[in-house]
Amino acid sequence: MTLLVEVPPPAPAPAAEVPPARRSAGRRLVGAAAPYLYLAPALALLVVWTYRPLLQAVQLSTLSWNLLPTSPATPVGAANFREVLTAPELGDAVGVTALFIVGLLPFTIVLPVVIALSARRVRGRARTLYQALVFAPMLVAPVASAAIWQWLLDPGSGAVNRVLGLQVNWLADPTAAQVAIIVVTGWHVLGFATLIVSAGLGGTDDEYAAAASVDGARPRQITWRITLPLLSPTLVFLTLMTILLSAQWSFPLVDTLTQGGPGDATTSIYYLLWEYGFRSFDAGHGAAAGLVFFVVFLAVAWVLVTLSDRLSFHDD
Amino acid sequence: MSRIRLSGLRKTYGDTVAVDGIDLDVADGEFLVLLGPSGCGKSTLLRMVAGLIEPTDGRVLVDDADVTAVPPRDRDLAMVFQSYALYPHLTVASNLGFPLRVRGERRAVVREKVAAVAAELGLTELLRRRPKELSGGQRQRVALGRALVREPGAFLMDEPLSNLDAKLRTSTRAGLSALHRRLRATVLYVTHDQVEAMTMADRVALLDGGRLVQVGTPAEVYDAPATTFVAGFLGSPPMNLLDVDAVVGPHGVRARAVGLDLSLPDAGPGPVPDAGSSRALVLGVRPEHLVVRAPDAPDAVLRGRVSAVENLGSEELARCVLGADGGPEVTVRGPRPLGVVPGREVGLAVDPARVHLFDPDSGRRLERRPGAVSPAPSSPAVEPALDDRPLARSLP
Ligand SMILES: Nc1ncnc2c1ncn2[C@@H]1O[C@H](COP(=O)(O)OP(=O)(O)OP(=O)(O)O)[C@@H](O)[C@H]1O
Ligand SMILES: [Mg+2]
Repeated sequence: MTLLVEVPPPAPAPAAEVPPARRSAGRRLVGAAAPYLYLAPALALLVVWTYRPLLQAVQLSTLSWNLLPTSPATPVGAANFREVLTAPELGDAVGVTALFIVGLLPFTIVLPVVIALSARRVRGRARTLYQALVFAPMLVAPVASAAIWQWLLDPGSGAVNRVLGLQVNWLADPTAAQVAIIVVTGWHVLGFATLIVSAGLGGTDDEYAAAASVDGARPRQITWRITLPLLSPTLVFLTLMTILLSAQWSFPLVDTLTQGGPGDATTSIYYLLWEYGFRSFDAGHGAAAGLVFFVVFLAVAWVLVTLSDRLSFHDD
Repeated sequence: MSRIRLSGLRKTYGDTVAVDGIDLDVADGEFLVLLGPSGCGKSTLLRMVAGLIEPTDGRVLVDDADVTAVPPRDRDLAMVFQSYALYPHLTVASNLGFPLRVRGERRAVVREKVAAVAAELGLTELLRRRPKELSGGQRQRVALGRALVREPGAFLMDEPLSNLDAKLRTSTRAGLSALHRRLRATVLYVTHDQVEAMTMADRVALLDGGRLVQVGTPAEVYDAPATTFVAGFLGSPPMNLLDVDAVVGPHGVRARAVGLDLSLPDAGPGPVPDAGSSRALVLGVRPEHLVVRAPDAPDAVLRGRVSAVENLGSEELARCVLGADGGPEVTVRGPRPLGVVPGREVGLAVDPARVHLFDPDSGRRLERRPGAVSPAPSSPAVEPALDDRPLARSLP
């Protein structure tokens, strides 16, 4: 008779006699601390140059003090904030800053996109040359370029009026002064923005555009439906930079060309802050205004960074 | 559906010749597979057909119209990319509808066609997702759907299955074949995977170093490889190729090498006498055509020692070193068990009809023409007559 015997499952391997490997406590500690040690130098710089001054600003904002070591600093509580927030010049400065931001967006978004898109076909050595040319204004010290522009914008003999055939007193008329500051700042940052857009374009896969062209899209459709949407994180980033930094970018030019004038026509928030601190020597108001801007910009940055994350389509 | 013809198509990058003068005719409704190793110019060739790469030379014709200078969007071809190139910012539905939308199709029509294609490919549940939320197989189907949605003249596919796992690849292969039969679509399909080529193709075009080496049905290219490259590329393991000294005489060919003494008679069995002109040849035998014999068996024309045996489940592979140690190696393939033991002597027999001959210099196939006294008139290019026993060089 036939016997059916079930095949037994594989016997478990005998337990190893070797004790499991253990890392010593000291080694584990070093392992855990390593990333923080690598970050330490950068962190130290941030603490010394950013967080410490920030805390000092908080402290200063509750004092009334004229920055002289010999004169006393009187605590005034939240009075500085109340006065800063109700001061009419703050509203004006915010308006001027908003105008600068809106005025600069064409130079940081629209023109860079147009230039970068049309320059995509430039290759090799010509590309390096073109990038150098576009980036060059960024390398000119703002104060030096301000001096040159002052000369170019001279109402009598300046090249700008002669070329445009106008009789505008650029730096003395409020609207003209605002336009001049925006255009000169825009000229300054255009190369930087173009480089960022070019890098963004270089980072997007050509395969999508190839697929779209086989799918039947025209070049214009590819730009609008494929390239620009894929570029949107870069564009949001540039918008963020423009909002946060417009007043900073224009600061050296405002300081050299118009000193915030005529009237308050070119007094942006940073220029106002600087006036509080170093014209009126009013440390309390300066610090209070600085903290207000800090909080507002923090909120704007948070919104835009969140938006940028939403818009990044990592496809892997 | 369209017919695609390529004539003298060439592409060079500086000194690199990516594609070197390709003439190819893809018939209406044909599934033609471009097969070749990595870097042989398959993608370059396909992209020139799509219009994504401008040829250095040559022409592309779709249905008798010269489209060499026509932009990709007006060629009426659809392409499935190796990376799929799904638009990452669009949902599956928008990806599928993209080719229709950019052509100005009405929204209602687009929605209808997208729904139909999605249903066909089992994507209905996924229409609202974005590409990054899909698995590899789902992405592959979306890429295919985007090509199917607008009923193009022909499909171009660049290794569409290479990113799938083995099981999914097998089932997708069958799905693609079924789709091709149902649509009677013209397909130009690029792959480096010979299994895909053998199972799906109506015809296979083998590419080596930018040149077309052989075009034929899967059976033709497997059974009668035109060059040593094709012989060594197809089959796994590929054909055994051995350098032999041969005597080509009036009654057949006698080939000799270390551990090998093989007669290829014109008629009947038996050894071929050693009379005639001698020359070097490359002899090819597929592993499955070698039969294991005792070392001293009279029909064991190859003799050697087994160096390794590999178990493939249903079959076994034996690697044998011919003659003394350091001799050429051949692989034998057969049902398990083969009955060989590593380290033991072994004899191998082969049916002379299964033996392929190649020219060692050109690498081209040599056909045996028994009884031919002079070159056959139908043959356009023939080896110079060797005594009265010519070996005709076969052309693809
Ligand atoms: N833009 C390019 N510039 C220079 N050489 C290139 C370029 N594109 C391809 N080549 C070269 O042309 C040859 C063919 O490339 P191709 O991409 O067509 O190969 P392939 O057969 O598709 O290979 P794979 O199977 O790896 O995809 C390669 O030698 C490659 O290095
Ligand atoms: Mg390729």
